[in-house]
Amino acid sequence: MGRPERILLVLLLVLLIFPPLLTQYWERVLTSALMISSLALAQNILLGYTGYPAFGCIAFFGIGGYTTAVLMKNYGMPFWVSLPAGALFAALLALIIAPPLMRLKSHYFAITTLALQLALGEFVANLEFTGGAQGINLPIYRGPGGYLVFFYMFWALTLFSFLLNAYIDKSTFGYALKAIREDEVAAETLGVNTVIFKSISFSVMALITGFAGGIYAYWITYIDPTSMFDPLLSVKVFVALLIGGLGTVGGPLVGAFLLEILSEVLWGQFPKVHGLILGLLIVLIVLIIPSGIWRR
Amino acid sequence: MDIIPQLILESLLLGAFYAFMSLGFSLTWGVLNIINLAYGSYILLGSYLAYSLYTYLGIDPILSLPVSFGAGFLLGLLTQRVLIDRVMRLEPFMVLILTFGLDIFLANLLNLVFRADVRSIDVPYAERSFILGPLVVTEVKVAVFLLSLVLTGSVYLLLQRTWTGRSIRAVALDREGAQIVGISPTRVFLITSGLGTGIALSSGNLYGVLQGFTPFDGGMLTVKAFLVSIVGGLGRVESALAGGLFLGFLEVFTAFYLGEGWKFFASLIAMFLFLLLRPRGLLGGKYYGET
Repeated sequence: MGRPERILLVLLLVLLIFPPLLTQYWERVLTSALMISSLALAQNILLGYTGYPAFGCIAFFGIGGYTTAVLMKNYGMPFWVSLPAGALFAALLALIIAPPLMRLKSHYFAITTLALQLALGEFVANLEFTGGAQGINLPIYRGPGGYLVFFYMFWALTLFSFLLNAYIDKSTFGYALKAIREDEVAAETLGVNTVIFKSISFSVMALITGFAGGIYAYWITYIDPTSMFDPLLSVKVFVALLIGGLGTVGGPLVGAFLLEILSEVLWGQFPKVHGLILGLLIVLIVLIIPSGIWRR
Repeated sequence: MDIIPQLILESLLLGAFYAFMSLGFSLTWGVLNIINLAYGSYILLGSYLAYSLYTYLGIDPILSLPVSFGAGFLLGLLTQRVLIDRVMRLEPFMVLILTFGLDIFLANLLNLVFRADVRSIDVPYAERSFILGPLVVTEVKVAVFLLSLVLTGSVYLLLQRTWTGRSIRAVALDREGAQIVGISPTRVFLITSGLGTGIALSSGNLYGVLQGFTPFDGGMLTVKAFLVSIVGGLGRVESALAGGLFLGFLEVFTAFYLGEGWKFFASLIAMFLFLLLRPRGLLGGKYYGET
């Protein structure tokens, strides 16, 4: 880790003592900023280091969230069992589909994952045990700490993803991923088993994203197919990554916080046209800072 | 009474429309190698334009087809010049994000102006139908079918018989090669983008006559255009026809046998499987964007 990354890590640790001082509004904003951070850091492992843009990454968010919700609601399992079960299920599915899926590259890969995300959303909307289009009501969390618990869970997930990114940036495993990103055929020739490395990278992304989905489901207490498989969330993750800078350790975190706080401020100012502004913001970011603000 | 012939008829009528609707998407993808996620919103722009012209000025949506095409052509030139051209050099998925942003922007713009209610263009002949042997034929569907065929045919002639069309195909086949013989790719990109967007908006007129629409139907329409393009292969008229028919049959039969709710799921799964198993389409690819 370089100096800027260490500063960021300290800031992240400092964030831990903040919540009791915050108003409910800012507690919610920071919680969702941490959620986007963890999603962006997860995607960074895949897109930033491995070079595969999973535009439909929120497929695994939905799988994680729905598995958690169904286990809690239909089978009465506690959250601490349902959450990891959901995330592991997402990762397992990712591991299974990765080898055929990752023969595709670039925007073909991106669109295929997006199709998967939308298809899963439609699938869930048509099933009985997932509550169909009406969705699922989860039990409301009433344990110690109140809703701050969700802040801490997303914080922990972000910290974990951040450290994982830092590890990948400097490890042999990471070098293999970067080799795939730069030139897959060359990496293969040099003895990197690209299929295995790509698949692991994909599953790790799905694991973190699945965790985020499970925590989100319990946090928001009501989930439906539209909100859990929302393409808007996918694009937010990508925009956060773009603002920050692909393939950097600090970028995704900075990008996610900038995007969340920026859009929160804009929302408050112009509630009627927030969709317009978000669309415009995305277009401008792609045009103005396509390579992000964090130097590689 | 056996329902199958009726379903086949509906599929054919719908399929021809989907072929025309997706032609612009397929063309810009094949020639420019960009996937335009705002395409569905372009179609809706056409629907709302035709709706406004009909409601406020009483102009029939079929007569306003050239207006939509013209407006679309200009919009296509503009977005190409101002937006797409600047990011085409970057990673291809940047264009995805850019056009997704554009899609959100357009959908919300339409929502701001027209509200989220379902609108439809209620032409006086919308409900008329006649009986043909065992079949019930809705007149408006036949009109859309015939118009789609004529328009698709004109695009085909444009691509095959004119110098503009030849230069478009040349750039699609081999960008560098076209440059060597004196064709400017930038100019071809501009024209293709105009043509594609013009097709999108004018198909919006027909879509508005066929069924009701809201500002947020764009994503679903983009998926349809995508599926049609990927089934046959990119950028060619005959592929779009094959893809359009495929989608027509898929939708009509899924809706009838599994229920309306599974229709979109079927399209998405078909799209996923095609991308995974036959990303070059059934007819095989030969265009630049596919290599």
